Amino acid sequence: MSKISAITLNTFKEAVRDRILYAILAFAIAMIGSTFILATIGVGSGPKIIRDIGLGFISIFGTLIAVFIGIGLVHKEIDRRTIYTIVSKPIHRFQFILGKYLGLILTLFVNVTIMTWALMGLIFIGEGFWDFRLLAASGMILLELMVVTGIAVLFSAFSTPALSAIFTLSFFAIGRLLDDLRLFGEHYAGPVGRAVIRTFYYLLPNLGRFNVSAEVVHGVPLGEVVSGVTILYGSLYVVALLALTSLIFQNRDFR
Amino acid sequence: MKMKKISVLWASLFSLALVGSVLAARGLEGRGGVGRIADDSLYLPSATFLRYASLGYRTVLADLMWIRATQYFGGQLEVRKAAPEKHRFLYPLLDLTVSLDPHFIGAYRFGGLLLTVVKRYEQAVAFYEKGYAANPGDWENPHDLGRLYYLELKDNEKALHWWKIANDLPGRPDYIPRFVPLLYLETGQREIAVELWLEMYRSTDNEWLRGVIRGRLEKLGVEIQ
Repeated sequence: MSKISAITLNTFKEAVRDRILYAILAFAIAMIGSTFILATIGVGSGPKIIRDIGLGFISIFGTLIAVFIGIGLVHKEIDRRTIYTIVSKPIHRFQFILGKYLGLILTLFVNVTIMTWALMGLIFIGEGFWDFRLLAASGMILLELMVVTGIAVLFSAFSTPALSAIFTLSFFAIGRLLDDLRLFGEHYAGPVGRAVIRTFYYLLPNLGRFNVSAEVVHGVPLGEVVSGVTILYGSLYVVALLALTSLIFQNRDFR
Repeated sequence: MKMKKISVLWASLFSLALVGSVLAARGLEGRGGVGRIADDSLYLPSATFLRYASLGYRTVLADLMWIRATQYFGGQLEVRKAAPEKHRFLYPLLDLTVSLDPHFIGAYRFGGLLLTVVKRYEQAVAFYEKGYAANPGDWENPHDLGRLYYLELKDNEKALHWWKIANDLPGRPDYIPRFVPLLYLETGQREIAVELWLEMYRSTDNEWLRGVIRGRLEKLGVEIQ
């Protein structure tokens, strides 16, 4: 456990030293602040617009951080040849993967928390109260980012950063459209096509399930928005991704 | 010293280039070109396309489309001539907004009002009805539809129909129950109107409201026991 936590903390420290992270975070907060301007021209829908677009920015910038740091997570160690020092130590390869993954999740948690509180602060200035419901939406965004990070780390274990970025962003797009894809298959595909689509529907990450921002903004009770099954689904998917990454990484030859 | 000179040179070049680009941008204003169109609302994408293209950020796109709709409305106000095509893209823009976010109550309310202001009543009715179909538990759309029929279209039967619906929904304004009997009266259903007012009189201890109801009933020659 101490080995994993050491790698986790090291990855976190490494990530927070990265200037790109600060650039993305500063830009994200500036964009969240700009929703205030959009809200003023939104004729009577200002509060909704601030929440919608603010949560949208948290999700978009969180995804960018997850993808662009996640894709280099393992590859960077191989490229710098520091991996040889690590694998020669009494440490299992899955511990290395898990530590790296958790380090990035810790980074994302800190970033999402900062962005969420920036948004909540903006709402507090404008409306005079803390909208704690947004924490539920950003919690689900974080869960989605955990899955996206898992995908990025998986590709990072065997591919180049450029290809990993393309693959991860493609998976993100597909994951966001999976429900529509299934609907499309049910309406227009034949029996074989439907079966193929259904198989992909269950195998690919259904990221749309974590997108509850609209429900939170429209005041749907939190009990209906955040479901235990969704959290379980996200957690199991992350476990599956990390297991596959460990399997691939275990079989890589670093001699 | 040499370094300082180079820095000053770069700073001067930067300033000159920036001022030049601003002047060039000003010169480009109002110039047409291939691909430029007078009104980009002519090429609105379909809601289905936007739903896919939004990658799940549908409500964000709905907000942006809503801002676009209000800007379009504002821009059209500058068009002096009351031509039939004036405001013709207002409904498509509003429809696109609520197609992306069917629960955007603010867009139905203000959008319906904008359509009413520009006297596009049929579209306003369709827009409110769409809002009610998507949000049957919200009082706002039937309320606004009732107001449209009552004030603009002078159709008291339909106004009554929609206000009766709004009256049964949670959160509706307090004045709706007072308007419903009035509309029964105006549509010739005196007995129902009297019955409703009497019921309201008995169930409230608000003295102001009781006074209003008493006045109405006295005009109809009904005595309160």
